[in-house]
Amino acid sequence: PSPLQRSGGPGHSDCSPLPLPAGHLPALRTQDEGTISKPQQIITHLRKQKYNADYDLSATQSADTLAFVSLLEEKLLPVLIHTFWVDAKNYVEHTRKWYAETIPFPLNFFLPNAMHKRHLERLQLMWGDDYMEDEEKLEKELYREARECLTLLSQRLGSQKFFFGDSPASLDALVFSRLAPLLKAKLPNGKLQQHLKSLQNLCNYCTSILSLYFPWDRGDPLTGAPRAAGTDGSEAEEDPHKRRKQLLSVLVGLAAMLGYAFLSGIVSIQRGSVGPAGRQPVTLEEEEEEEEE
Amino acid sequence: MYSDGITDLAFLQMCNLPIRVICRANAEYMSPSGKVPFIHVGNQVVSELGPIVQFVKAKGHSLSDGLDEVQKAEMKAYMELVNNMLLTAELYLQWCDDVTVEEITHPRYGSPYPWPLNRILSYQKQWEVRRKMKAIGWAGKTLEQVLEDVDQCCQALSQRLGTQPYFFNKQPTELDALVFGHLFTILTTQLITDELSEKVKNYSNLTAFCRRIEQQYFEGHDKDSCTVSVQSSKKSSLLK
Repeated sequence: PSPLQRSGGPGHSDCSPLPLPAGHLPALRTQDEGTISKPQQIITHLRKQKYNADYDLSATQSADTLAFVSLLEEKLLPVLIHTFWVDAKNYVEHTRKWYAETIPFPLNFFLPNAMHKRHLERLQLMWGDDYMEDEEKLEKELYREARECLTLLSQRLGSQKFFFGDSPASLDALVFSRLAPLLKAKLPNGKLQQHLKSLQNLCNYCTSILSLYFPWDRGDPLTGAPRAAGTDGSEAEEDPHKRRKQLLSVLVGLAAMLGYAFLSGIVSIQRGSVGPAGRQPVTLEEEEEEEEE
Repeated sequence: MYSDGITDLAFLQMCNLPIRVICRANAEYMSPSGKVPFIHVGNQVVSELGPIVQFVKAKGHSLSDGLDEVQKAEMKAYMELVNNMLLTAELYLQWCDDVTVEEITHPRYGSPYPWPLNRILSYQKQWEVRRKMKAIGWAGKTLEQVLEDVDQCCQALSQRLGTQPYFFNKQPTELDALVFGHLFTILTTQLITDELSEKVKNYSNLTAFCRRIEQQYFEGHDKDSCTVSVQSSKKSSLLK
């Protein structure tokens, strides 16, 4: 949501991922062009609607934007994807859990897994099997480059409020969107996160943008359940929702089984005398059993 | 297109290192990472620009020492931009544009090998590149979109260069070598259409930049190269 905030465009934080272009998040629902999911496309669409955060940038600054976007997308983003979606501990203990809690039923059962598979495939194609199989090499080279990228961002930001002076531009939106989750998430395996935390100016940068443009997210929106205001209320509030979901899933399962049973003739409702008619379902069952054997 | 070879050559020339260029058909297999170009110094072999720069730096030669922190950050970002846009566009044109692939790439790539090996290796490489393109989202792009990306990249480079002789004013850096490598290749390689080189030619300061570096560092050197072998003849401090 941050480019929307930045350009003053209309928008509200919508956690519902329906309908999605093949399970892609984030997604922007528009009136004319359907749903767009790539950040760059979202920014282009907003520009066409005359919401432009880069209007005041000079030619060199626009050029710098393009360069830093490339740096972020090439060196940092793949490693971020790995940290959140492929690193076993982080994925199971944090990412999957968080998405499963946020996404509405019934998508939460398969969407996180689908996203995990897609990210894994993409990284495999980009990096090749060498890196995916050799943890040490991955850590040494790719994570090192990601850490270097963070340091470069810190050096470029310096003591400024935003990357190009006093007002934010699209580069700020992009940097914030990549860094904020890394800063705020409670990751069990947090080497990259630790490096970010050591860069004080980037931490302050993220926190100030969070308080300026996301004031409604009082609690950490990226750690606990987003519906609850505080962590105490969250557990109590979660229970009825959880129970309801469990009940619903059991009912759906039961209904599916019963439906299948009726349709395939294992169970049938007989009216009339019990004797000969009653035998029918039994024989059917026997037939089924014979077939199975 | 062997932009990487020219980049490395330019970089090493800028460092004032004595070099000898050798062309080998099996260069990709000689390289430790499978990528060309690579340098061969004594009994060490180093491939790709990044590691080559590090290697040369470790031996006491560096082009970017005079830059401050902000400039170094900007240099790295622009290098990434060039790799992201120009290199990918070159690969796209070579391996994903059907006309170019059939008439130029397949014959050139397979030329050192006899039939049917030339076709097999060529198709294999094409399949590899296309898979990678799909992973980074370029497979769905049309040629027009790719050319637009190249134009955007050149515009950014042109704006950054402005009227300076090099990207960071008076002294050349790795970025200058990289940009030169790619732009020179684009401007001089014969393709089916001239659209790609026309995009670069739209920016006069970029073509002037290429010409300047060519004159300064490449007078009398062979430009078609696959590997670069660094000689130890002139008491260079590379071998320590």
